[in-house]
Amino acid sequence: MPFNTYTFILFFLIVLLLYCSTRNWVFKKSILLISSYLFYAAWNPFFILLLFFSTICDWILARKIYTATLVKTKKALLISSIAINIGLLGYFKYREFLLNDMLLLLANFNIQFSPVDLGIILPVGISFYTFQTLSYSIDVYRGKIEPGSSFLDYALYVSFFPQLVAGPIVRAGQFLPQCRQMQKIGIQRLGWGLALTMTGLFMKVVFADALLAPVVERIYEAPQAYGRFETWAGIFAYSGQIFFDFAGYSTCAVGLAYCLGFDLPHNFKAPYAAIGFSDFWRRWHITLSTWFRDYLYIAIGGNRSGKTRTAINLLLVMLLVGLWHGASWMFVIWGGMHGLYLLVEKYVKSSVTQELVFSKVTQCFLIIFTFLVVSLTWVFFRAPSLEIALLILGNIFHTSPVSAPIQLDTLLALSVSLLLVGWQISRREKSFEQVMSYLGPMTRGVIMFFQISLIYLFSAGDDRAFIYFQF
Amino acid sequence: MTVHSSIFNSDRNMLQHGWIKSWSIALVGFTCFILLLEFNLRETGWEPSLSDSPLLWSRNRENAALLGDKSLIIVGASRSQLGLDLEVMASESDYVPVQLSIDGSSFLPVLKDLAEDERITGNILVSFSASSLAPDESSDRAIEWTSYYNQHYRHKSIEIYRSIDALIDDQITSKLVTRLLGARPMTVLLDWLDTAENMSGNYLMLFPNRERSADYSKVTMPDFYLQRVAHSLNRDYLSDKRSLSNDDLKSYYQQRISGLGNASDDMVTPVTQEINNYLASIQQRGGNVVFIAFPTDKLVYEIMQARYPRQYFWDRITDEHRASIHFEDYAALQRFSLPDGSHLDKRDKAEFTKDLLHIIDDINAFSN
Repeated sequence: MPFNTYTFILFFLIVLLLYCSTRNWVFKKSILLISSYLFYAAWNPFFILLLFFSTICDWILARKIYTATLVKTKKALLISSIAINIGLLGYFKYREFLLNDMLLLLANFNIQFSPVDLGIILPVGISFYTFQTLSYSIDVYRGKIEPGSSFLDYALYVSFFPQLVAGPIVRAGQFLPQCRQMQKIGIQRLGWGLALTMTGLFMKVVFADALLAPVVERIYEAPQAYGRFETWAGIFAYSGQIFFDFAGYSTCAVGLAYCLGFDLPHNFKAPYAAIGFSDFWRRWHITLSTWFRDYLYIAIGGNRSGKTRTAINLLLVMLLVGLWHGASWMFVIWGGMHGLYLLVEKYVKSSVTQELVFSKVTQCFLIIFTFLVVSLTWVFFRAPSLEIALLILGNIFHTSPVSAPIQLDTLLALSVSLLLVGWQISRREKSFEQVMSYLGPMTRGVIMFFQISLIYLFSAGDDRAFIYFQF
Repeated sequence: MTVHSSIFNSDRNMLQHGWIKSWSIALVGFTCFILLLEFNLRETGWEPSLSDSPLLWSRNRENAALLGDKSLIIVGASRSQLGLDLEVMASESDYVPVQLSIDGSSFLPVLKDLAEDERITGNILVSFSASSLAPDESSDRAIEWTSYYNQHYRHKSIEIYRSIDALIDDQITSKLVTRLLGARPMTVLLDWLDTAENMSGNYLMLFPNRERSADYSKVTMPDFYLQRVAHSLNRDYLSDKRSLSNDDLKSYYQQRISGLGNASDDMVTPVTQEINNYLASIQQRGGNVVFIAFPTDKLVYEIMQARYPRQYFWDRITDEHRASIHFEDYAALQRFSLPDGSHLDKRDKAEFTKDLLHIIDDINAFSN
């Protein structure tokens, strides 16, 4: 159940009450584990079998990896873990995609084949928790962590409901130590956790859903009807929408976990104030980009095997980052484009002087340039097909013959997106906590009053799902 | 196990003070604000109302199946949704009314859906409209909602949380006017800027049983009526109005109506056959179907007469079915004034429902 539903609010209040009603740490963790499975079952009860399967496989394999004495055996066990997790992901997420492409290929050779429709539904959040269980096995294999002694802790690590379906992707090394000792939940911790949650909801409900999504939907549904200005506004509005949507979810996840005594890593750090593309990926979906860096890029050689190999590695990783987001060539194109940007940036960086890179003027230019290119690249991420994406990009250079008049909500969406960029540039190096810490309780209370009131008013009658649930 | 320190605590710990004060300000402020807004909106004519949705429709549709032969199912569009009082129907008959009309849509997809469901054994009232005999496959909401019901709701493939959430939402929305979609600040602001008129509340209300009420005292007449006429003529009211006074506009529309030709009746024969098949299935299970032509008046009536003459549409379709009620044949159904020429005001619907039920009794429509 998404966080922006009454059901979730009710669910969370019950969990919090039960959680606070006992002083026994094992009971507390058991309550969280059961709640997490119930939370997941609210989408489809069948999914919890999958979650449990993924959990138990890596629990057993990681222990066997740890106790195995031969490197060969360790490697074989790790490969089994990777095969199971990627197999699950491939079957549930990419089966249709691969099958459709194969059918198209066969059709080119005049071979007709009609596979049985298995009616497979994509289990929500599967990309997130399989990456968590994978990282656990790999970390044990690499000797970075020891396998945990408590299955309860491990199962909670995989299924912890605040971050189960859309991240942040947490490492076992970050989460399991927190399970060892009971965290005290005082009023102040609860107050801050709930404030973070409300901020996340505010980002999602007011900015992403109410102000930006309608404009984006309108322009992407019928791009031929819009001219240059509306198209630019739609492109920037989507940059804002995806940030507020996903960062909103992550902020909720961090806040909810904090209420329950757990610290989760941040997933965003002013990404639209990035200076260059490598900086963008250090600030956007941080837990995913670091996952790919640590478990794939470095594993296949990283930048240690010459320029050509580095370029191939980088491109391959970014193509997979794209594919991770969904079973569509549009995501692959989006990832590939970011891979190319990173390559060009690497080349340019090695060819220019550091003084030039660090000058204020260059940095300002680079921030604007990075935001522009990132926004234009989102078009491939959002558009349902390549034709639509190219039509939208075409519209920004020449006005479509029929151009609808500019609407007020478009201007509002554009202003919100540009203000977001301005805000991120001005708070580039500060965390949300730091910004909030400058404010007194009174000012915070007033801000929260506006947040809660606007959430209430703007949340009626619409139930757009969090974009990242589909990944 | 290697312990990775959490780097996030430091930032978050900076804020561990003053939260009781902050939350108190926020919650007290919020409560006062909502109460004030609620009071103010009600004072200016707004009333709580639900938003219609495939889920709400599906809940009622499922209810129709569960009630079996106790159900009295209403199929149609806005006229039957606004014209029938379900409370009166329940008290004046032995049946439990279930409202399945869908605003602006054809009755055919719903009738088909009911005919194909073996569990539907109750009686059905169909609000007939000749203009909806050929539903648009791509945009008719009845097609979309029946398919939603059959694909998701009926086979329980809908996410559990959605059903729970819709129930809670309906409860809250039916009690608080501030949850009304039309009262959202952005909507009000944009509507206000669009029409440059002050909003005097919502004239339409939807209740959890999907009954609707229209309070025409809240709309500006005759503009609203002329908008309806323009809508029935497929005209753009705002661009028509630019240079004409209301009286001139009426004459202009009158002139247009006199030039209207009959709509094609090519589809009547196949649709009649289709309807006969549905009726056969329903009657086989013990149900009865009554076709009703709800009243229209003034220019809207003239448009309907010009486009869909009774003898080419209604008479041909209902000829083979005994149970049919055309408002022109019953003085009791003609005595109501329709403010927009097409729909009943909320003050008249209880009387209209009683009259209609008496006629249904008189013609012995549920005799199967």
